Amino acid sequence: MNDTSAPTTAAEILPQKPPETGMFISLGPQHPSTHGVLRVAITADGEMVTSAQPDIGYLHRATEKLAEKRTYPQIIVLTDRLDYLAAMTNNWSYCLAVEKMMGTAIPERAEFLRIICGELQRIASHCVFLGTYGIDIGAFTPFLIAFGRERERILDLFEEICGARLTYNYIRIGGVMADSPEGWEKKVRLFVKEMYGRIDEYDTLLTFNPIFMDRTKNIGMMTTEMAMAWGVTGPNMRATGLAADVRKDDPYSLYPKLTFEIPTGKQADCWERYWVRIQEMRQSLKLIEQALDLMQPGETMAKLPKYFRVPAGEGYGHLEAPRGDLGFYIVSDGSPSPYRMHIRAPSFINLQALQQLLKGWKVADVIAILGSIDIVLGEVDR
Amino acid sequence: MIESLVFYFLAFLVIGFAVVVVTSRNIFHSALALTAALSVVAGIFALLGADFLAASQVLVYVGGIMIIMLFVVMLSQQPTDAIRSQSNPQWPFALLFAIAIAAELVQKYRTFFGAVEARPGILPTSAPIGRLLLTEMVIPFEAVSLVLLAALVGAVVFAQDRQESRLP
Amino acid sequence: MLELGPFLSSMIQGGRSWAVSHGVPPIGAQIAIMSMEVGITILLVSLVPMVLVYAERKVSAFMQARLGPMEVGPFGILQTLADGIKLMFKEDVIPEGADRWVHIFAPIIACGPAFVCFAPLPFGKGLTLVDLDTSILFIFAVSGLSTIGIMMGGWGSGNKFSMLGGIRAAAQLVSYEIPRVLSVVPLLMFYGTQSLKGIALAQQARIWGFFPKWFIFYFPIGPIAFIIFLICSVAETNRTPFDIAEAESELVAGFHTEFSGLKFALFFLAEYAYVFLASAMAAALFLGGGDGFGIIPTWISFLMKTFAMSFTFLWFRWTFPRMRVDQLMSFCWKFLLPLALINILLTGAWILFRS
Repeated sequence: MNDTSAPTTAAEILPQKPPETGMFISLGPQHPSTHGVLRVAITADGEMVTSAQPDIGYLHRATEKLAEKRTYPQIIVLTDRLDYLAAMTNNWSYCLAVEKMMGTAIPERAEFLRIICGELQRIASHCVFLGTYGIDIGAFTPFLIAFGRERERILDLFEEICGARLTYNYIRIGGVMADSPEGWEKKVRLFVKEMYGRIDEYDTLLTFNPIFMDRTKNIGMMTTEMAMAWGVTGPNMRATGLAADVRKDDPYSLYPKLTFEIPTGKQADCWERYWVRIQEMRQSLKLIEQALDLMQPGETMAKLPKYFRVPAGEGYGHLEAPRGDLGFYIVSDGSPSPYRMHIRAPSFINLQALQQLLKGWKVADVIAILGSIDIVLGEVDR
Repeated sequence: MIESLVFYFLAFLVIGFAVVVVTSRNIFHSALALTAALSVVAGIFALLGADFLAASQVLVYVGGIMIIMLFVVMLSQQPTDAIRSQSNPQWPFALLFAIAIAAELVQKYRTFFGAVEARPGILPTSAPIGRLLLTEMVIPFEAVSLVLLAALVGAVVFAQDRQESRLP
Repeated sequence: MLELGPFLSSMIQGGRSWAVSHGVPPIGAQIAIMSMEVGITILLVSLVPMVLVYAERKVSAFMQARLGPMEVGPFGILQTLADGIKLMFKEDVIPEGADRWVHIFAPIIACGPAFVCFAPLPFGKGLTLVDLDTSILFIFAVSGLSTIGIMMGGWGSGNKFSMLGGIRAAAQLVSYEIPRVLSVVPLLMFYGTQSLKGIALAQQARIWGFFPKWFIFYFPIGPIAFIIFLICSVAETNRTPFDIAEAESELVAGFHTEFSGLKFALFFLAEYAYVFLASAMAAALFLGGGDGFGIIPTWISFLMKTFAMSFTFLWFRWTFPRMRVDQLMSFCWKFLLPLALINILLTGAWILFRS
């Protein structure tokens, strides 16, 4: 990808005028199927896409810069707003980085609560993916079922444990905000038990629907090499057949204590990217059950001073977020706020592969491929 | 009495729409006027009691051919079409010629069909038409279908030629 | 027996003789009665979409774990009425780049034929408004006119999305019209008539005294014809999985993007009228029409079958994803059309062996 003829200036990358041959399509930024404010500049020859350039930045909020002016606990609030469909894992990843730098030991109960909330968040996030992908393909019902029924249940659980439904700010440096309320674990158990059946329902409604499979099978294939070259992670990478999962490759928290499988695909077409996510939901349910079994009453917060400073140096914490390998790289100079913070956002990196992925497919497939990458613009633009 | 009133009304409509077809600058409007004219012709058929013919007229001409025509117009619209003149300098001669032919036709039809009595009442026509098409008229019918098939093959050949020449 | 047909016709006859005996000229009475009949049909055609819209909202709501409209009237039954009133009072926007007259006439031409198509439907014993000899051909021909309205809407809006929607709709409707008509040909061959009423009546006989002789039970030609007819009807009404003409994730709303107020309502009305029409045709052609086993009055039986078919349409819409344009076309030309032709061949063989 490092060839010298690669376009460098914005004018080169984003053709404003129609090309000499073929057609120029500006998809977005207000297009209903770009999942936010994303613009994709597509040139097409007839029905065939010849080039596609994602044009991002419409939602840029300078999170990384803002972080330099805030104290470490205050930054957690910022991380909520990155991938707003998976705020739990954002909190967690940031806290991992800080905890690594400070060498804090986390109480066991806090770790289990983190795992439960993180996996619930993964299910909720995949539910949104499933629903919106259904809408992209033209099926409206899965959206309201997955988004309005199951995700709502998860959000209710989150609301009960931390008071918020979207921006949780629940996982804190050194533990979690609060212990689970009375009876919460029972509710989670009940939900998990029901959720297995719900996922089977999704399978009948969408996954194995012949029209859905026609639209997504053998479309937008990605090889492992290509995924590696672009730095693609998460379900998109696993769909190529490589079982790359931070929970196994660079274990964090108490994941080594739990048993789970990593679902993989074979050729990473749109359907497999979708299918990997569906199976991941099942694995997450298993993880939650195990964590609930192993969890004992105890402390939920490590003993930390009220005002703490992070020792000078640098640290990187990453974890398996619903959309891939989410990392926070922090450089500290010993002051109350970080000297520099960088976020490795999986959506941003996965989105870049679109340039190559869309090439050679039909214009009608663009939306199917774009949807299957599953990006959140809050994370792409940061 | 009522019937001939209706007939003259429909005939007037047909001619009116036909004039719009040739005079309108907007090619889409022309196509729409042609659609309307063909539908009104179906109305005249219905007036004559030819229910099968009327229905097929609408089904084939309006529902099929005209939609394809509109389709082509929508696909190949040119902005210059609206300003381009609709006729060339020879139009007075063409008009004369057309009037001469019309007069001839009217005169011939008068002598030819003048003696034919209109059949009173409406009878089902589809069965006799079907029988005719498969007995007496089978050879002309098949010949027409052969011509259509040839046209279809020709269209495919033309379309394919264009495609191949575009390949590098 | 609660037969509506004889009751209505006796009432109309009574009214007519009463009018004539009171000095009204016979032709005036005839015209008055005809306009009454037409009025009833138009009322029905305008009422049916309201019922169907409400049904669609409720059915989709229950399929999607929601309640649907609940506020206006008990269980929200007046919601459609409220929406209709709202649409009537909305500003009628004609875009600046629009082809004005084409834009105005498009919804009328899309909606008008739907009303006409209801004339030859056999709603039950004595409830056929016009018993045409070629009623099936008539319905196919007239309903094809609506496509022109859709294309006019696409062209007249001066909007690229509308234009694309109109083009897609036209290509799709013309293509699916062919297997749809061909799927009915076996029935015409089988019953030797083109009249919907005649076909519906011919199916009211029984095999061995109890088993209904509905066309759908003639295996294999009946089910094949029925399935082709059903699929093509869904395509003809531009509904999911064939709603590429108004695919909201691709084309905003397709050909009716730029329509507002009453014009939008007319397009809406046309869609549901055609859903009802297709259901009614399926009921009359394949499900024995008003055959109610001699227990249920024919008109109730016919409406029950029709609404069951309409429910199938709604069911499809809320459970299927959308097909891609090229898949849609190849499905029509490479699968449905050959199947329909083979079915005609099979029917021919069947009739040959039967005689």
